[in-house]
Amino acid sequence: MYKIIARWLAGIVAILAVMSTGMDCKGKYLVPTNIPPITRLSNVPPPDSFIIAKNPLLTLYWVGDDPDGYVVAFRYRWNFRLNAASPFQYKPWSRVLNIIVSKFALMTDADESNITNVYKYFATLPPEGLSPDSANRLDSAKTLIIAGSHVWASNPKIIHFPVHVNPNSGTFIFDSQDSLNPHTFEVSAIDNAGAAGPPATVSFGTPRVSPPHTQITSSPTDTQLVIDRKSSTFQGIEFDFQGFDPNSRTVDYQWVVDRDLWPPDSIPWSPFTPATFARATAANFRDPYAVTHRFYVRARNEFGSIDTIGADTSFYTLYPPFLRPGYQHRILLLNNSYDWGAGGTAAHPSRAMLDAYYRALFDSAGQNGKYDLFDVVDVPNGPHIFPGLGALGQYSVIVFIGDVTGDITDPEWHHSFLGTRENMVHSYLNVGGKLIITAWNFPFPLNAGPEYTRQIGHLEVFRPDQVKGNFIGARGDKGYPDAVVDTAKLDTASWGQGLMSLWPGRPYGFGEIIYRYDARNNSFFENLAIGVRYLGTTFNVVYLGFPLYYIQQPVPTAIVRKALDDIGELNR
Amino acid sequence: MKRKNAPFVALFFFPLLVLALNLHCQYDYSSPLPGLVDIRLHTISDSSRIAFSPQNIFVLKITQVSAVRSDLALATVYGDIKAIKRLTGVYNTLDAHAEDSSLVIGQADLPPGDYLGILMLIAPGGTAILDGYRNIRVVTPPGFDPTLQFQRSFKISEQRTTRIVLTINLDSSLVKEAVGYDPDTFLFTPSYYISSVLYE
Repeated sequence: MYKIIARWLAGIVAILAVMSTGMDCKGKYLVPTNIPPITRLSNVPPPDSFIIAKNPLLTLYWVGDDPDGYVVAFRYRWNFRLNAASPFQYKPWSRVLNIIVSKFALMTDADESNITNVYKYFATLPPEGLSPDSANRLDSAKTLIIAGSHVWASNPKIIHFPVHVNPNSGTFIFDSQDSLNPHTFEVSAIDNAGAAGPPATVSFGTPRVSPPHTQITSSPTDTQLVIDRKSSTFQGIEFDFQGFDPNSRTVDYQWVVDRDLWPPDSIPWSPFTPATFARATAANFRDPYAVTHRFYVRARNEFGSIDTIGADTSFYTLYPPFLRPGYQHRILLLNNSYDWGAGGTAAHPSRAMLDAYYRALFDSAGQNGKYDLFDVVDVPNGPHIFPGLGALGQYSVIVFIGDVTGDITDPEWHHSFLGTRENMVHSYLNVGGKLIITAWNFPFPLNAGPEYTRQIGHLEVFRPDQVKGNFIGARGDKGYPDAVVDTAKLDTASWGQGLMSLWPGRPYGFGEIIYRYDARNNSFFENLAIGVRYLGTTFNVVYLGFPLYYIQQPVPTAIVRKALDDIGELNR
Repeated sequence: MKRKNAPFVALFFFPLLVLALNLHCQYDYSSPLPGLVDIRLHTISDSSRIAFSPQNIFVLKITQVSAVRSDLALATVYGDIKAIKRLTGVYNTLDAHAEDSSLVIGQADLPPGDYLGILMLIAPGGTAILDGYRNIRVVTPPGFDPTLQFQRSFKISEQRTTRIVLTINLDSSLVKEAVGYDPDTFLFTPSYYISSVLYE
């Protein structure tokens, strides 16, 4: 019995001894604390030295190590002061991830508590890397949201001189308002535990740089028609300029019109952009209806220094009266036809006869008293009198009349609508004018030419119908009446029983067919477009590729009414 | 006697054993049957501007259609339910079927669940034809994103059809004579949305 008790006691003691020993063998040390990462700036002077840089642009390099983990990011900042009397201020921390993904150096607004999660997302991407959509966003300078934080590329393609192209260097422009500007730059590595190590620092001074020099390289010399908005045909009045700064990699510009006419505290300078041109509209003018203006431009270099002198130039504009409030609708009949003189006949009318015909036509179309007639006078080897932009701008509609040519079989004879005349009508249209063209042989290269016919008339032509007397009329569409050539006005000996040298084709762009060619005996041209209307958002054109004068009455009256109706000018 | 009956006993118990094993191997869940998604195109166009007419043509080339599930998984939708791959589909947005929402551009059997929307990869035709003869060049703005994201949640249910109508508004998608572009062009800036989701 005693032995049994002794054995039991010995056993219990042994168990207690083992337990006691086991308890005693438990570790008494704590889990090792994180060792912060180490950061070093490379190629910098010793910490106790101070250098002065040549300009405010410096590239700094750094590396980071973590003894017990890995570096996920770097954060950096620097200090500056506005002048020698001001206190030092610090820029906010910036953070760049310690990874390059698809060639991007990635910046983030994640703080130390989340930056490891952001890093891990990019570090664990599949072998193919970022999705194309994400890569495109980064390359377009847009942000991604990763683990609840924003991430963007420091070097998207639209930034020519990025701060970072990798996480171990940065090219910075340091604030340099004063003649000498001291800075201390600090950079710290952040490890996978989210701890930032002690910063590596460098101190230096940067000088103030001189501003760029600005020069205007081109500006309009003639008076320009102008409106207060841009459209597909009016992009504004263009000025080109250039800034010069040998110290700066980039120069950007801002401009204003009529600077000295605006209140000094609200001069509407444009935002700074790198564009070396400006396009001004009347919306940029202090008085949109004023004729004389002055354009100012100034440049800024990448250090923020602005050319306080800038460059300026005068220019002249005309806001079309037909676009001003209270304008009374008025039509200009612009007779650009050949003048057969006093011996004019029905087939070869004089200018006066054609004027009389069109007066009667527009009177019958209900426009009595609403039009003026301008005869373009061509004097061989002399001045060509054509209305200027100021005159054209007085009219809401121009009716271009080129119905009569010289000897149509002689290429030297034409009604001459070229060069500056074309350009002036084009400028008139670009700001919202309306045009009706009635002309014979209009696309002939010594008249308007095929390109102008395409751009303005919206009819694409290839070659004229040179078969004698082949054009006998035109079939109307879109509400236009059929037109038949008036045989009483034909020079049948020369032309046959119809007209020739007309240019049918096919509509261009938004042009719509309003007339189709009616040929006597040449099926090639049959039903091709010979009349087109273009109702655009800026300007409207009704192009009649045949001379209205030679069409049997009363159809021309109906055509005029329909054309005016199409362009919204019939009952104004 | 014992040796003679042994195979019989074994044969008797063997099926029971197999049955017991099979019962044991049954999964504790069952795979759901798919639901059908049927995607249709609907076009809105002001008839005074661009009418639905056989003479008017503006095509969209659709190269990819995907349904986005709530877990962001993408399910590819082919041209029709029998298709085995996606071919580029060319659809005339001015077709009469597009006017009445009956132009089918995609069908697929999809896993049931909640979906966030439809992704569609498109390219506009280079030319719009009006009145049968007016060829208007169609241009896209710089950086044009060909992926249209139709965002509207819908549900796919087992053995049921979910009919989704994608609407494209041509009045705002085809901008005539946009500022900064050739006056005789349409600028394509797609304006689109899911106009209806029907469960059948």
